[in-house]
Amino acid sequence: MGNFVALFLIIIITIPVEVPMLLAAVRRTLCLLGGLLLLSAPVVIAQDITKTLRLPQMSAIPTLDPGLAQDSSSIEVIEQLFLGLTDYDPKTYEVIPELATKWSASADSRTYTFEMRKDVFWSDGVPVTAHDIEYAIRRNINPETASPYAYVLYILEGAEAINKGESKDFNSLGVRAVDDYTVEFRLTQPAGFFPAMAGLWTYRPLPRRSIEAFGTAWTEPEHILTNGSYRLATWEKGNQLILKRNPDYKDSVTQQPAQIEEVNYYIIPESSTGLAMFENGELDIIGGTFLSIPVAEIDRVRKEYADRYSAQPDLCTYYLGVNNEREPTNNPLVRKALSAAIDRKTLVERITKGGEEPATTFTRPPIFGSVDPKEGIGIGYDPEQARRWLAEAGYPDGEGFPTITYMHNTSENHAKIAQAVQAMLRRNLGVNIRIENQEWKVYLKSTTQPDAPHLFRFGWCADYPDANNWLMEVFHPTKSTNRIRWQNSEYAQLTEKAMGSTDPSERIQLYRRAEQILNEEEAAIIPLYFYASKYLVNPRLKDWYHMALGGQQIRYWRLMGRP
Amino acid sequence: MLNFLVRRLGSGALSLLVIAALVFLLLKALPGGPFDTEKSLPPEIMRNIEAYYGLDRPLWEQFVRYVGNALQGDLGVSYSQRDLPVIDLIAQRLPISLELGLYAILLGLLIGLPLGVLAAAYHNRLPDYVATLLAILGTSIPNLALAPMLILFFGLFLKWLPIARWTTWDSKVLPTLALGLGIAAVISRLTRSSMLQVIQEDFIRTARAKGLSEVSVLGQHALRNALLPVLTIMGPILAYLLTGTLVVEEIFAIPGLGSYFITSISNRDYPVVMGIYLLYGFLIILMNTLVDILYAWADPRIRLE
Amino acid sequence: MIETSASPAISKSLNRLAFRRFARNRLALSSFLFLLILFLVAIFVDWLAPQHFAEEDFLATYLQPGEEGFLLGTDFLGRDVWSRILYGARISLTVAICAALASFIIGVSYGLVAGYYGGKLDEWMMRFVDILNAVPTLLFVILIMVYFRAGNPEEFTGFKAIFYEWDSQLGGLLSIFIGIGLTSWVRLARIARAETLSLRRREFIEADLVQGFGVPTILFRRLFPNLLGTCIVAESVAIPDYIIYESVLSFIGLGVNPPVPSWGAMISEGLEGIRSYPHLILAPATAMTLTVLAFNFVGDGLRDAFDPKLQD
Repeated sequence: MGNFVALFLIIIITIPVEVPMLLAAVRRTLCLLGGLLLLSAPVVIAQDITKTLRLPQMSAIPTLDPGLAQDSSSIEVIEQLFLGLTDYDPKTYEVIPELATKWSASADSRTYTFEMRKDVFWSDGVPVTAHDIEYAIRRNINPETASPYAYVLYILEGAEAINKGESKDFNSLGVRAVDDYTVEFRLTQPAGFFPAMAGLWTYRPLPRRSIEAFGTAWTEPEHILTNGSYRLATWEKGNQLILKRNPDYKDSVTQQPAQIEEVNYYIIPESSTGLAMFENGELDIIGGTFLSIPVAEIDRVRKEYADRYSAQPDLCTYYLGVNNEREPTNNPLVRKALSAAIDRKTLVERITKGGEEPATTFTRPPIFGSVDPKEGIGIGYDPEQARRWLAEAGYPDGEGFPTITYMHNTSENHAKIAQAVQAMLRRNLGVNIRIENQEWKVYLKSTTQPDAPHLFRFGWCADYPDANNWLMEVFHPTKSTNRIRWQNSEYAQLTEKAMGSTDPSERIQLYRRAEQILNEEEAAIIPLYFYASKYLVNPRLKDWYHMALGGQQIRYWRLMGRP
Repeated sequence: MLNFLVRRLGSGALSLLVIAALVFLLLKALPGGPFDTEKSLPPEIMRNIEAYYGLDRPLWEQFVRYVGNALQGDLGVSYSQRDLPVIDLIAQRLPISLELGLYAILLGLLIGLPLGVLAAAYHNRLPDYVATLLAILGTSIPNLALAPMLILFFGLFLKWLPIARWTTWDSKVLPTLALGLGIAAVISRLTRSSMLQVIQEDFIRTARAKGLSEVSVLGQHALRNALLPVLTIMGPILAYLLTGTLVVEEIFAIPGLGSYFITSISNRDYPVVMGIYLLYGFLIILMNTLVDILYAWADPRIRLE
Repeated sequence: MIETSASPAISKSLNRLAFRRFARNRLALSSFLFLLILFLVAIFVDWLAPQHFAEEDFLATYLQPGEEGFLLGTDFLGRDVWSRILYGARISLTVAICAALASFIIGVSYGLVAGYYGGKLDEWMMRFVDILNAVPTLLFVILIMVYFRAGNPEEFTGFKAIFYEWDSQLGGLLSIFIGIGLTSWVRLARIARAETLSLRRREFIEADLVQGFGVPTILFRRLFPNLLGTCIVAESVAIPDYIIYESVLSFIGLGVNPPVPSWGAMISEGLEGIRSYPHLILAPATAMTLTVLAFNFVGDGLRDAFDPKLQD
């Protein structure tokens, strides 16, 4: 046994001398081993790399059924496969026609009529008609379908009662195919933003014959019928999904089919793996909706791939929810002090480092109803003012201020931000916070309890580009989850009035006032920054742009040459 | 023999049932249901979804139903991959994990057996020390530490091999090494000690006395008998593989069952978690029974009671 | 084997012999010294580490080893990696000792009872052990950890609330001890039972029974000391496993609560930036390997020393 030590020393001493020889030997061995594995390797079908766009997705794609989708991976692929009545302009996020050619609202803004294109076909050659939309909505609202996003249909007459099982009268549902190419929606209340909603996946036409014949298996490649710019070729769940260009598709803008022949989504759960593949030329894009770039690598890739790196604005806001019922954050002065003590600029420049923009309001510009940051609404970084507010609240220099809890869901990024906020509050206010973190699913429960933590982080992203989706649906005292437990009747009235109004300029004014109350006068939340997506894009991909809402518009992109 | 088989199968089935009940109860006791999202779905929508999956029924009924379906080969459907049957999910991912495990065992035998025989043949001489040292090193480097080191050295420093995924042959080398070296170490240690025991037995002395060459004595007579104890650790090796694949698949981003197990735990995808636990229990019970039978077949002195 | 010796005097001298044998095994001895130092580090780490493990500087993140006086650089939160490695030793060793203790107590008591009473009770107890054995320990630990960790602490009442409070004060270690203890006693229970079965037939136990000693006295005063040696040696071989379990749990996010430094959690954190900052992975991986290696050498050395028959 004693010889071990001597042997160990000998090995260590000889290693430097023998390294090249050793390496060669190891390499030979590895090649031999590889040769053995080669015998069993599955046959890889050679694909023409110049015609194939290779994209990563983080999680196995949960569903391709537009009626059941609720997550970004599913929506990304559904966007390529199924058309909606409307779509968004990638720059302004204005609503533009897709499957619809035009639409009109009744005088009371409670009935919307959409005229549809006549030259769109399912992949079996049958035309897409208004009946397919009527069927889709009836099917998605049926409680037996158990669609998680059915509530976006609640704005239709009779929908909520049917979904809750209180009514079985599908004829009372506010959707009707007037003729083959005209569909009419009757709403429970006036809604100026309805055309934006009508493009959502839950409103998209569905192929009745396929769903009724194959049930839940209708989205399998051999059964699925689609009508979008791409068709589903292969779906190996949890591994990869291949789309082929739909030759019959004619885009409403360009009148042409998609440019790229084949799109290959790889499921890659680890972003570090994805980055390695990108650097190896195995992926054409990484970042944004296509697997995020690991934070730890941002500094390096920005330097190394300056020509391929870019930060693109995202329609999301990172904010700290405040428990407005708990001591001491039930005091608006305390909340305002906390908000003013956080240096958002340092936060985005030193911590997140990815082109994010400091936020003082909630609705992300340029969404309709958002406030331009130049207007200066909300509370900016002002440590002097913060200390005055805190003193006014009865805690001069933070004396007597209890330790409050800041909770985030477990993640490196959130931890970093929490710690930066902790340092800023300690430095500027003399206030101590305790940071806790929980697993996502548990976190969601914790933050809806009455004794939720004093501060908790959330990100909110647009479902459709209208402030109603933000101010009304997130913080309305009774009609939203209202995690911040905040009651303000003026705010409630403003958002309700803005929802019903059809006058755009009036709506903008109402939302501006609501933002002012939420972020400035009451400081019921503390917005931190507006998200950005960091991308690395292979230069062979031309005409690429980032679509911050509802799936990428791959049909307009082009591929030139090899990676 | 038949009697033995029936008894083993019976107790195996009982074990599986207990495992199923245990996993079922522990998972059902967890709050933070599988369908919570940031927007926290309206309660009526939650009710629809729960009714869809039969979660609105009493716990015992859910369990009975689950066991009944499981007996017919239906392990329910995944919550996070809507309507995807768990059995399909396992069918997609298990082959990849099996392939990885098989390579690891092959590598383990390929390295471990010769090393063990060598060590025994040169008992208490230099090759023995080298082999034993290597074996202890091999068992001591946890694959959690080994895998990133392999990536760093062969993937990033030397750039010889891809560092992730499970596609071309060269992408399979590092995961196989990460998982197989530990097995090689265990096998070589066991082969060595069991060879040393066998060598002292009478029939080896007889063989030597007959003037057979050392290679023939060790290779034919001793190794054959020394292999028996190696056979017995196939059960523990399987257990090692099941847990090893969790880490190795996660680190190398291999779409096998192990990495998916971790994902489904954080997704609260109960049917998938249960399915994987049952499968693992089943595999281990099967393996242990198989080893017992093989053992009896290989060594006539052992009788199965 | 020493346990079969009835006379305490012989047993003592045999122990001395064993220790002498152990001391002659240089590899085991140097590993033992290494572990001793590691234990001292773990105990006095508050004075030895340059920084507290949670002290972060968000302006000095991702420093390379040696930069600005950080021996092993800093991590994604600007925490000193060297300090975290040292504190990690405390975590790993605490887990090693406490989990071993937990599984020792459960396993030995279980084995004693089963072995002493024998018969139907023994049969059923062993059947239960067989069932538990069908699932790899780590998978069971994971299941139990999922159970411990999930839930909203604010909703906890009674026992679970108290447990949660203790657990979070220990940085999540308590549930790891219990998780490992609850699942890994099986092997030891078998050994303890076998020992008890063989001891029970020996004269001195018969004599105790005749003298009318109570069952607890016989179990813990007479049987327990006699199987202690075997069980300690058997348990010491399992300690590396416990260290690995903890790091795997932390790696998959079910282990210690951040910012408590565990080597497994550090590997998991470092994996994301492996291309830019390999030292964030190399450091904890090396620390873990060395520790496990040392425990293995010591475990082997102990086994060889106390049980020369097994020495090859």
